[in-house]
Amino acid sequence: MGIFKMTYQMMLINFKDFGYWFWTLLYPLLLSTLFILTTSNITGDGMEDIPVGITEDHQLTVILEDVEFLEVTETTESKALTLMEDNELSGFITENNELLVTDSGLDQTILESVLNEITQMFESGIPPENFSFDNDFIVETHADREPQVVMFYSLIAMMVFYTMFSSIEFITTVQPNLSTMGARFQSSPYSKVKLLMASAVGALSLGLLTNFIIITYLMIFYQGTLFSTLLPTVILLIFGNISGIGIGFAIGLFPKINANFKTFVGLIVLLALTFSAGMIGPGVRMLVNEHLPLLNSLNPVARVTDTLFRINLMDNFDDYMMTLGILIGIAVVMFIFTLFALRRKQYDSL
Amino acid sequence: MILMKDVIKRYKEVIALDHFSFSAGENEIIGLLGPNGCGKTTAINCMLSILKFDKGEIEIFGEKVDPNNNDIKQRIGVVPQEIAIFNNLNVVENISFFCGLYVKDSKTRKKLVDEAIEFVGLEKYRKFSPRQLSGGMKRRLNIACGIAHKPDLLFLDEPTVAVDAQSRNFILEGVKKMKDNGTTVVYTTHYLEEAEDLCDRLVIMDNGRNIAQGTLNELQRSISTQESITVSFLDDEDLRKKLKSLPNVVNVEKSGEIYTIQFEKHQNNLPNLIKFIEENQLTYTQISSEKPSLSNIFLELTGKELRD
Repeated sequence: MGIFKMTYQMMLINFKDFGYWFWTLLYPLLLSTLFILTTSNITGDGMEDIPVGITEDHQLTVILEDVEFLEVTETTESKALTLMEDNELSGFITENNELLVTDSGLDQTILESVLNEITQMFESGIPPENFSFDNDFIVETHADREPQVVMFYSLIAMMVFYTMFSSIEFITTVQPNLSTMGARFQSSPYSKVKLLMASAVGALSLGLLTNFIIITYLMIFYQGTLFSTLLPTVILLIFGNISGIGIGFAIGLFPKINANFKTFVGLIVLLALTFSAGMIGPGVRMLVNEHLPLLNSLNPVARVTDTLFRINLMDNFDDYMMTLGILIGIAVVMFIFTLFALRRKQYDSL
Repeated sequence: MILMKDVIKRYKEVIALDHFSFSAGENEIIGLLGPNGCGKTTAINCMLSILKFDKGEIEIFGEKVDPNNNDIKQRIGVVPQEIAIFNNLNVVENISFFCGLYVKDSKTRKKLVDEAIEFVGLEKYRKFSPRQLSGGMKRRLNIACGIAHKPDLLFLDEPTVAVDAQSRNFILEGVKKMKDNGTTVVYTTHYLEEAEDLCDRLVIMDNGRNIAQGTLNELQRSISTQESITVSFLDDEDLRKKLKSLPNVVNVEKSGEIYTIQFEKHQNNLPNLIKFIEENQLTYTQISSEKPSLSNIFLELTGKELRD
């Protein structure tokens, strides 16, 4: 049969599997509902800019005005003190680049970090037009500010990698040393490339369908804003799904282990990655970032979580292409590896 | 059609195929016969180029088998020993899926799927999930998935294991029909009566070796026992010694009042036995003569019984 018909058949096999729908749709919907219920009382009004005062004609004014999450007001120090007492300013930057605050809190911590960074960049001779304020502290501090948002993004990130379960099942099925059906596939003349592509497209289509349903559900029932940039978000999710398929193919190739056990291992690994990415709260992720920074920079779930956060809440796309590159890189490597492992394969034992 | 020459296949220390040679011509049913673990499935998997083998040659349709040779694969059908179907697809979908691995055109495929369903007698169960089918029906579906594309060469690996009598007959009749339609069938089994009834030629395997091959008649002639007479006496006396003194007798076995006497030649054995009964004034209730069965052949060739 042609590749389109084969894709349809591959989709049909998963479509008729209750287990598939439970894990890829009902389970995330259940988690989403729980998150919505548990966070409905702590949901704030969304991201608010931090009001900061600065002396008139200060050299940093232009730079600070470029920072998305700051609302800069030129004023005098005495007026600033009054405004700070009235909670209309969170801090004031003096002529000597010192931060004046009358309170301590998250806003003040962020302002201090921004000011420190500007000072460091000045000292290292970086021209002001090249200043960037998208460093991790910003994401982390905002995550602290709205922990439930990170939970939702990590849930979505986990969900996009669920495509791995279809591909684990597929790869296990076509190998005669792992499945009774393997002999049928192996002895047939059907192209392994077509088979692999059909399986991947089928898994991607169903994966995107479940993603669409869950995201629609979140958009309807979650009070805050999760998605401000829809197209880049959709592209990120597609790449995440493809990466999940590739990872599933590689897991499926492990010999002498049945599909159920592989799926179980995949689920545990995914939950661990999602846990590390902050699904049960940003504290874990901050802890990992602090002690094992490499783990989350390589963790695809954490990458997708961070990127979703940045593009939707920070309007920051600096890391976007890198994340897409990593996701597609994982997928390409896994696809090629799988293809070489399956093509022209003869087994030593079954 | 198939030529397998001196094939050796080792699993570490175990020799699964030991200089195994075998051939099958066009339009015949050839039985691979032997106990579980004797190497039947290994031989099939080597022929299908799924398994690597250490030495020897295998040719199918005059070409060396190779995992890349799709021309050979296109003409082969496989029915694995285990039921190999998708539980999430119904009967039609399963057959269509596996037929689709060979047949691209959807109209042709639909026609072939309908024919396969009719062939295995599952017309009433087209939309049934495999979970709703009995064990025998699942076996029939398993067969339909392997034959729908009408292969020239079909490997049937123990298709009647754990099947009810009705489905077994259906399967055996189906295999005969396939042969009538021009398909060569390689049929593995450890059910001797099935092999006797079905196969044109037989290959007897033991410990990975081909210990005998030929038609049933040829195999019968190849062993020392040529006739087996079973007689049931009413007398209490143990007659084994006396019976052994008869001409051509090679062995006498007693089970209750039933004696099985094996003769090395097929020559006046029954008249001699009746004469012996009359002379000794013995009373018997039944007597029958038969040529050696595959069970006798296997026992004599391997020194062991072929059990399930």
